[in-house]
Amino acid sequence: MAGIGFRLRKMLDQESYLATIQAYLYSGLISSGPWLITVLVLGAISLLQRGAGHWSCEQTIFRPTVVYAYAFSLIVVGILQMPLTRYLADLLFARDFAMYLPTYVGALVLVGGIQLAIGATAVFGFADWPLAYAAHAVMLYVTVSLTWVAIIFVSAAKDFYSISLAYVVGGIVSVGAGYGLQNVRGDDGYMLGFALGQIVTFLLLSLRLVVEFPSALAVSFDFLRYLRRFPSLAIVGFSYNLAIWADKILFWLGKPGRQVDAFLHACELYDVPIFLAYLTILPSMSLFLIRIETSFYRAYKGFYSAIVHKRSLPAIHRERDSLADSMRLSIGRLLKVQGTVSLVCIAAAPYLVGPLRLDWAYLSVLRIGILGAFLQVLFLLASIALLYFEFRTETMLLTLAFLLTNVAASWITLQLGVAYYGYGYLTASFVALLAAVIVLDRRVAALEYITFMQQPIG
Amino acid sequence: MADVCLILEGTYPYIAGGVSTWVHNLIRALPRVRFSLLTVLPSRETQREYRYEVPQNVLSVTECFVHEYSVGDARCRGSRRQAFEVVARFYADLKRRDYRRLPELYRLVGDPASRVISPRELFYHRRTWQMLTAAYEDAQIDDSFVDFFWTWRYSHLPLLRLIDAPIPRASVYHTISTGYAGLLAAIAKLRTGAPVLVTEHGIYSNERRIEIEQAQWIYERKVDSAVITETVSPFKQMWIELFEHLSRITYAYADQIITLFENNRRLQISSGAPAERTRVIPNGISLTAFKERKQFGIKPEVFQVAFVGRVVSIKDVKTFIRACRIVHERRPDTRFPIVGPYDEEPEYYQECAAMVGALGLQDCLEFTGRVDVRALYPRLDLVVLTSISEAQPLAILEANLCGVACVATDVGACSELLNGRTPEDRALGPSGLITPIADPAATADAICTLLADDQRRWAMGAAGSERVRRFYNEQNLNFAYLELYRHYVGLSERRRAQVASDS
Repeated sequence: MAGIGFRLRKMLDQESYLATIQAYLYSGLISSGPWLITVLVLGAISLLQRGAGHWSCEQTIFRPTVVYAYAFSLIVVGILQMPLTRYLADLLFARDFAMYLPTYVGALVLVGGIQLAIGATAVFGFADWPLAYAAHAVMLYVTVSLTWVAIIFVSAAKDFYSISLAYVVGGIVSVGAGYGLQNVRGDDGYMLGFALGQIVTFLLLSLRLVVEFPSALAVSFDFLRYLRRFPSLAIVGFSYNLAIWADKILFWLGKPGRQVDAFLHACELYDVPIFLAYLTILPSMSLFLIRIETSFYRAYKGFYSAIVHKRSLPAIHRERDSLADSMRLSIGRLLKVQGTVSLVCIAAAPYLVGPLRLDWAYLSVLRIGILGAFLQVLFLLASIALLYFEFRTETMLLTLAFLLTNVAASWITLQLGVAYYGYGYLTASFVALLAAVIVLDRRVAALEYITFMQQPIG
Repeated sequence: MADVCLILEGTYPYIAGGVSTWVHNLIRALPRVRFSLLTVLPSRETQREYRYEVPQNVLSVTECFVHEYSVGDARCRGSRRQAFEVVARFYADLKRRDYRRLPELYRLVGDPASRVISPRELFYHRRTWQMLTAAYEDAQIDDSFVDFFWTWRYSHLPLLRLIDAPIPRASVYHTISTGYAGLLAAIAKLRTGAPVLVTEHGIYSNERRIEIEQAQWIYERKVDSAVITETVSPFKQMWIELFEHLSRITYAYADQIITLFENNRRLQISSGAPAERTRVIPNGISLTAFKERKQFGIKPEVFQVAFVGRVVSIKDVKTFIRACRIVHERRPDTRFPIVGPYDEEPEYYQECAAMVGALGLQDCLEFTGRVDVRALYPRLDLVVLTSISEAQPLAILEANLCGVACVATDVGACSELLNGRTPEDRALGPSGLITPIADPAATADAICTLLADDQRRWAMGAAGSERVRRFYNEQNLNFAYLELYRHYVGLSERRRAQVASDS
């Protein structure tokens, strides 16, 4: 993670307002880029449809298909995400660049195969869609899955500019082709156009990797070792991604949701405001990336290098203190910045509902959702910090707790009625964040003990 | 159940050498004593083939590997807070070299039947970390903490392994060194109540100190090479202190502290051994193996002044060669055979050979290589030792037994071998002359003095022969151990009977 940090710090050091904004935007795109672009593209298509008078959008199966493709591809690829990231970091550390592309091909083959099987089974086994639409839906599902894999590889190579570029270009193609083809072929054209945009994104990312890491064409499944070696990481990725979709899935299947077609369910009352709420976490994401990659990373490195470079115990204590300070400072700034943004958004929510042509019924869920997203992003950041210290088991337990509370609390709010929608997600985020902060605080306070005493002897 | 459990650290039966041969001979000499062996080895990977044919009266061989990483995790219920308190107090007492809390410590964190903290917990516990950081601050080490930490780990891991070592049941535990073997003997005593004997050939804590001071694997802060410092790095100091503590604990738990000669006994006392429990049982030689005696009264035409020993630097052969040059000038008719193998340190041998050439001694000085010394002694007039370090050199015993006087440096047991140890022994008169180390002129003077005075030389030879016969007879000395064993086995059995009748 060092590369991006130093480049960002250089940008911030220029002290130029423009450069700072650029850095923020840049890092914002990196961390939440894929999701942001997807929400924007969906929104754009939705608006375009309305502009063109296709008011039937909400009634069509198009939007739920895209949401399902994103949700389930993220959950499935989530299993691989962390172990794969770790494997690539180790490859790069060992400067074994020749293995990079074969590993990429291996991961694509594995994920592509599994997702093709899942997608095809779902679409052809459990739905009765026109052949062309079904085929395009599977294509989208597989492409999005492969794109997650590509993101893992390009992020590990710290080439965030390429990710942003690929997403922006792909997004534009999605909107343009979707709109264009919809006029020719209807819903199926929409799906095809949208999928084409995603394919463009995927191909651009792959091209970037091929250019960056030339190697003989080969396939390697060596990374699967890391699934066995770090099962906790696999569980972290899977349960986190499942957790952030768990409340939505419950709402789709619950009372306020509706069956759109076959296995496709949707719940606009819940989905739309929550997706919008996610957009408000963008500032935290950017800020966090800058903090963790710059000052936090420096303090973190200072602590471990003090040990390795045979410094005295008081010197190590001082490094630990400055690490804890850096973390507190980061959290403090996050609270201030994201808190302000979230409060402003909550206050401004009524003024957004109108221009965005949203249903007024969404307002309450949107406000709760903004608060929930605020806490959830803090939880995510605390978890990443825990992983920085290799507290894998703790992080695993925390994400599992997040998953379970989200399921339980969301189910309860479903029973309680519409006034409570969103509170389940809020509660889960709050509980998970609280637990994560307590664990992080305790662990960092005992960092020397853990670093030394808990090392195995052999 | 064995009568005597011998506790051996990295020697018999795996490694050939002086101590191992001594152990082997002791076991063979006492065929009616049932022995068991408890051997302390670094790890399973070390050489574990027997170099000796273990005699029939050895009932069992138990191995304990100190450098393996698994430590016991079993424990009993009880207050761990109090147990850690005892650990902390034990370590505080260590600074005053006070080991009186050891039984309590053993009960609470050692003995598997009663401990409330397992060795594993002790190794990873937060409370241990607190003690460790406090110790670091206390020692005012401003140097590498990571090295402090690993020094602690690597120095304590063997101790935690020893706590759970299987200890064969025996009436007496006899350890052939202090160190890890000595600690194991103390643990055996704490566990079984049986008496403990310790026989030290070299002084363990001294040998370790020399080894550690020269060790490259222990971190030392690089200092300006122009500045000569007397201080040892704190991490080396930690190791040295550890072995000193182990020696002191062994002495504290030993019923008899035995060594080979008086100088070593004094060293033991200065290293904490209670004087009243120390005693000397020297090594002996077989009188029957050296039957031929020197014929006194015949003045030889050519004097034979021999160096008997391996040609290695610790024997300081070069001082002998330089002395030969001086003697050669005064008595050109003298021959100087160097009797012993010279293949152990080839470079050193080359240097010696070159020196012989440079000093023009080729015609009168010869490296004989490995020969049978028994036939040789009666034809020699003097045996010379110039070693800078020795324990109890057999060459002096052999030469004296055969009636040959010796000139030897003042190291190890040499002085008491030539002048007598006890009043009764001293009354026999000297059997040679003592010289300072690395002093060719003094060595040459002593040689010339004895060559010039036939009567004195012969008298010394006769005194030496009598001395060895009386005080260094292998049979008598083995008998001394047999007596010790009998005494303590009897004590142990009576104590067991007492315990049995009480319960």
